[in-house]
Amino acid sequence: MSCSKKLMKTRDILLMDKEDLEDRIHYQLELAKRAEEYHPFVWTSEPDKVLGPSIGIKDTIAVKGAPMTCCSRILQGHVPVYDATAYARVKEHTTLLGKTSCDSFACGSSGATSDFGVTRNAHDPLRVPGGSSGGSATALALGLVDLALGTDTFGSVRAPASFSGVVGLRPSYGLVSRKGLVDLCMSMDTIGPMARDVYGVAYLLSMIAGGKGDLTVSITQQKDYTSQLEKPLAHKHVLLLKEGFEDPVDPRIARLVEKEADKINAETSEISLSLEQVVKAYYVVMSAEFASSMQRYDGIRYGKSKDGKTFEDQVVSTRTQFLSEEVKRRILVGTAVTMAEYKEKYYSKAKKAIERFKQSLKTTLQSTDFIVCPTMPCVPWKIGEIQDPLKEYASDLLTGIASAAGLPAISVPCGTVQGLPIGLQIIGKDDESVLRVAREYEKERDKE
Amino acid sequence: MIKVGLEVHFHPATSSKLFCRCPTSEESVCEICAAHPGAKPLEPNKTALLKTILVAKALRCKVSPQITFLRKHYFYPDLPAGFQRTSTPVGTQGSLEGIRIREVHVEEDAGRYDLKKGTVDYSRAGHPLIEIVTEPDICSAREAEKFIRSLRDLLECFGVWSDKTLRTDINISAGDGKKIEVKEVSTIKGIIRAIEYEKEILQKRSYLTEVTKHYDEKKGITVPLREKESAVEYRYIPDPDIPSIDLVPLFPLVDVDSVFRIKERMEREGIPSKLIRTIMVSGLAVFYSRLSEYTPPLKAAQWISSSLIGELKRENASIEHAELHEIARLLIQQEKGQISKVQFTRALRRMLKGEKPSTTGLLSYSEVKEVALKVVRSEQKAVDKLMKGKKSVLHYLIGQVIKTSGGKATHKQAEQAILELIPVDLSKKLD
Repeated sequence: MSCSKKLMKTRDILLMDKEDLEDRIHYQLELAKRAEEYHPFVWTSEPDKVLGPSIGIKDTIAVKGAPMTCCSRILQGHVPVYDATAYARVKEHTTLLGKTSCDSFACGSSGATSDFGVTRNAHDPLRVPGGSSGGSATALALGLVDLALGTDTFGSVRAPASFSGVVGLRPSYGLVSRKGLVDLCMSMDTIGPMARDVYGVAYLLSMIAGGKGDLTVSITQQKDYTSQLEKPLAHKHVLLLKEGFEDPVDPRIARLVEKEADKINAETSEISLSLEQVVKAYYVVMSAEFASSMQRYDGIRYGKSKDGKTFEDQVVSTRTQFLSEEVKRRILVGTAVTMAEYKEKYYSKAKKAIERFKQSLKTTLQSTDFIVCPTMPCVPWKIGEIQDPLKEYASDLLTGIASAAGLPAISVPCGTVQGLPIGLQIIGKDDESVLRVAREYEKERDKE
Repeated sequence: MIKVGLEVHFHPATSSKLFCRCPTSEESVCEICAAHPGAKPLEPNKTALLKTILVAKALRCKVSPQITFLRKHYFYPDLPAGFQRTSTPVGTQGSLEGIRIREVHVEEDAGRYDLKKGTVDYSRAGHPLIEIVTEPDICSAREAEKFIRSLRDLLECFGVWSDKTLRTDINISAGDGKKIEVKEVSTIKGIIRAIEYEKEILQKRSYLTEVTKHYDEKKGITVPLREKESAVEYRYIPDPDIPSIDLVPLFPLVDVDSVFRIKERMEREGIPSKLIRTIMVSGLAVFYSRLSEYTPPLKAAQWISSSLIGELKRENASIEHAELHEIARLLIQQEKGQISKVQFTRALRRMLKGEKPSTTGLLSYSEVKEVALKVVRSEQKAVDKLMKGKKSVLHYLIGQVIKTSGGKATHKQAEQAILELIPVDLSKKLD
C-alpha cells in the first residue's frame, strides 16, 4: 500500500536536505512554538530516522519505551514495557513524533483537562479542542503531524475531529485490537484513526484493523480500506436523524449539516431514537467498568505513590492526591452503582437499556444504510466555560449512538459556524462503506 | 452441633497461566499478569478449563454449558489488578463421600505476599486455581479428614493436581447463622485441629462471634484476622474483556466415566483394594486397562505398582511417551524368560524417555553357553563349591553369566547353561 503525497507534509519537511536547512530550522522553531502554545503533546520523540508519514499517538495507548501517563499524575514516571498492537502495526511505516495530550484517563469531552496543561483549539486558542483525544486533533489541525491515533468510547475521536476541523473515525467495536489501550469502558472502547482527510483515515485504518489471536478483535479480516475509497457506492440510502436537528442542538449547526447532507442525497424522512436515555445508561456502565479497571492504581507497582502507615492508607492517599476530580467522580459513581445494594437498580438496568438501544438501532438500519447528523450539538466552548459535568456529558448526545451500538461512525468537517469548525457525522453498518460515503461527501464539498 | 463447609483450592497441572502465556514452571511475570495499564487478557487457558470440567465431572456435578468470568474487587498488595477474575460455576450439585458439592469453578491466583518482609512475589499471580465449595454437610473433624483424603485421591487419579498442596478455607457454623471462617489451612492435620479447636471454643461459650481467622500451623491454633467478611463488598461484574465461553465443545475431550468403569472392573476382577488405590492415584488407570488386555489383570496391576510407578518417578517421565504394545511385549517376554530383567528395565527406561527400545536382542542359547563356559573357567572356586553341593553358589554363577553377557542372557538360559556344564543333581539336598 502506498501513501498519497498529501499525507507527507510534515514528513517532507523533516526530510529536507541541507539546502533547505533554513526552512527546516524555521519549521522546527515554528513547531516548537506552536507545540508550546497549543500543547498538543505530553511527550515528544526525537526520531532518528524518518520512515513514512509522521504520527502522534494518544497518551492512553502504550508505546514501549515512551512514557505513558494517560495525562494523569498517578502514572507519572510510568514507561510501558510493551507496544499496543495498533502502534506495533504502524511503527514500521510511520515516524512517531510524540504522545498526544488528552483528558486525564480519557475522562472528558473537552480535551482540555490533562493534569499536565491545557490543550487548545487550533482554530481559536481560547477554546477547547474537543475530547478526549484533543491533542491528536490539535496536532493534526496545526499541521504538526500527518496522522494520529485517538481513542473513542463515546465520541472521543469524533468530538475533537469535529471541534478541530479534522477527520476522525470510530471503527466498529472489535475491529482494532485494544491491547495496550488503557481502559475507560471496555465494552465500548475503540482505537480510532484521525487525519486531515478521509484518505489518511482509511490509510491508517488499513494498518491497524483486524488480526487473529486477540480476544479484543472480533472482526479479524485485514484489508486495504483505500483501494475502493474513490469509488462511490452504487446504491445507498441515507437518512437524517431527527434528534440531530432539534433542541438542544445549536440551530446554526443543524441548518449547516442539513444543507451539507444534501450533497450525499440524504433523505429527510427522519428517524427517531431515544438518545437521552442512552447517554444516562452509558454514564452508569462506563463508570462501573472504569472504576473496576482503575482499581490497579494503588501506588504499589507503577507510577506515583504516597506513603502511608498501612497499605490502606497508602492506597487512599495515593489515589486522593494523584487522580483528577473527574476521574475520582467516575470511580465513586462506578463503585456505588456496582455495590450489591444498587447493582440491580443501576448497573444491570443500564446494561439492559444499552442492549435494547442496540437492538432498536439494528432494526432501524434494516431499512436504511446510513444515518447522518451533526457530530457535536454545539460549537467548541471556551476553556473553563463549562463547570457542570452534566452539561459536558450532554455534549455526547449524538456521538453516543454509534458507541452504544458498536457501529462505525465518522466525523468529516463540513463548514464553520462563527468561524469555528463543524463536523458532519455518518453512522453506518461497516467501516469500508462509511469511509466511502465520507469520501464521496468530501469530494462534493470540495467542488465548490 | 457444628456444621462445617469447606472451600478447597488447588493449582491444576497446566504449563502456562490462566490469561497469559507465562510458564507456571518457573518465575515469570508479564504485563498481563502484572496488570500493567492497557494490558488485556488472552484467551483463557484451555487446559485449565478442561481440568476444571474434569474435576466437576469427577465430583459428579452438573456441568454448565457456558461460563463467564467475573471481576471480584478488593485492594490487597498481592492482587495486581485490584480485582480477581473468577468464573461462574463450571459444575454444581455434585457430591463426594456423602458431602454435597455446591460448586466447582476456576479463578486466577494472587501473588505471594510476605507480610514480614513487606514484599510481594507476583510470579504466582495469574496461575489457574480450581476452587471446590462444599455445602455445610460436614459434622466433625473426622468427616472433614475423610472428605479431604478422598478428594486428594480423586485429584491424583485424574492427574489434575500439580503441586500437591490444597489450600482450604473452613467455614464453621453453630446453626444460629453465625459463622467463623478459618482461612488458608494447608494440611489435613491443620484442618482437623482447626475444627477441633473451634469446637472446643464453642463448647466453652455457647455462642459464636462472626469472625475470620488465620490458622497458625506451628501453634495449631486459630487467630482472629478480621471481622467476618459479610461486610466486604466485592462488586462483582462480568469482565468486559472476556466474552462468555461455550464449554459444550470441550465436553467430549473430558472423560471421567471410563476411569470410574476401570475401577469397577478392577474390583470385579478381584484386584486387592490397596493395589487399586495405588493404580488409581498414580493416574495410570487407563494404562492399566489397556495393558490388561495383553497380560493377566493381576500381573498387570502388580507390575504397575511394583515397578512402573517407581520407574516413572525415577525417570521423571510420562507414560505417554511409551508405546503400550511394546511395553506389553517386553513384559510378556520377561515373564516367559525370553529376556532378562536387566534387559527389560533398560528397554523400559529408554521407552519412558521417548527413545526407541533397543533392538539388539538376546543371545542365542549356544552363545550363552559360550559365555557360561568362560565364567566357569574363571570362577574355579565357585564351581568347586557348587560341585561340593553349595546350592547358593548357583545364583552367583547365574548372575555372573548375565553380567558378562551384558544383560543379553536371560536368567533361565544362564541357569540351563551352567547346569549343563556342571552336572549337579539339584533334587538332592545339597547344603
